[in-house]
Amino acid sequence: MYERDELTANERVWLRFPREVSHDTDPSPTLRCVQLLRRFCKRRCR
Amino acid sequence: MTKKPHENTKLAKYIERRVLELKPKKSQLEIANAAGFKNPNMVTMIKLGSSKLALDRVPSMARALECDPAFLMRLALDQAVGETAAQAILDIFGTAVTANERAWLEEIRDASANSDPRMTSRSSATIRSIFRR
Repeated sequence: MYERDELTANERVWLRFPREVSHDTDPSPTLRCVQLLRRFCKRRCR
Repeated sequence: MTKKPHENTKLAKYIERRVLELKPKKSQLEIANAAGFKNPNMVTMIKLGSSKLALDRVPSMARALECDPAFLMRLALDQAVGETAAQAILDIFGTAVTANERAWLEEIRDASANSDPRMTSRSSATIRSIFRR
């Protein structure tokens, strides 16, 4: 679990959000959250 | 009066929560033993904030608490050197990604067709609303 990813600068920023918003509770990606994320990305790509 | 210098740290609160969550499965004494503490009161002391979790104890403690070691290490680092210094360390050496964060990253990569999207103000507002629901 100590794996390291080569994160891009953008990904580091994306990762900071779940940490901040969840107050460092390490939330797991629930189906509902993933669906909302996908819906948002789809709208953004249009 | 007893001193509790680490009382309100994220780590103290998190350990308190995990001990409670694991209560039906294992006792605090079992957690202390599994983490390798000679003093069985150590978990109580960390929970109450009278003692901090040593960084070298993070891997065994994470196993005992059945939690992500990268996550626990971040909290322990915050507690050990303070939030600002911990952030500086992570910025320089790179942050360890938890299993949940890895899953989030994979979803973001997949949903964005690996386009490495920039975080815009609109994206940040959406992400905040997703997590607050």
